[in-house]
Amino acid sequence: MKLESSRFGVVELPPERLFHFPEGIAGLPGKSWALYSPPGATGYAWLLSAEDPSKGIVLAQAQRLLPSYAPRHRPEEADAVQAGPREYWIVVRQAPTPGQLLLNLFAPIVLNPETRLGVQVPLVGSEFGLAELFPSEGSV
Amino acid sequence: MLSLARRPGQKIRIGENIILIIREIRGRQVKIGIEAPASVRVLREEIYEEIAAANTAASLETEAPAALLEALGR
Repeated sequence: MKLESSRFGVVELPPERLFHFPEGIAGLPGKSWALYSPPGATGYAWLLSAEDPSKGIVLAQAQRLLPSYAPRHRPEEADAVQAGPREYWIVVRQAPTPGQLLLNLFAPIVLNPETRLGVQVPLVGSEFGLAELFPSEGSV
Repeated sequence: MLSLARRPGQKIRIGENIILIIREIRGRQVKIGIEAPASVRVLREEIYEEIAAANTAASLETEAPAALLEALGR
């Protein structure tokens, strides 16, 4: 499939990279999103809107970026992606401080590559924040 | 918007399987019990709005942050 993106132009994607988010993604339009890995990208990808070429967010593979990250939630809270393998991705953005990132550890994106369904799961009651500095202040 | 007047102990049913129960009214605060299937996401509105604001801010990135590439070893 071809997808138009304001960041990358027209990109060619295999159909299995297209995910449906039944609940949508809070703050962003549409329910159809494509996981696009730019050439050479490892450990991260863009989640690009299949409906609005201007919309996209950077996701990092949780296991690659933060191996100690252990999101806990009731299994039913990710029922939207149905049974099967569940991949956890972290929404990433640049921090105001150069060299640092802001990680949304509170609400990871969960993708099921078999059903091609996705959901953002808020970890209500967890210690995680929506904008956690990485590397943390103490480790810079 | 539908508005319903309820007293403590009274309920509101939404669809087949969601029930709101007015547990307690104390001053300006109302305690509400929610019976819903585990798969139904129930969030305080302000939490939803914070997640939406974080996602919107993340969508303003035009390229993958250099610090991310560095952290991933590229």
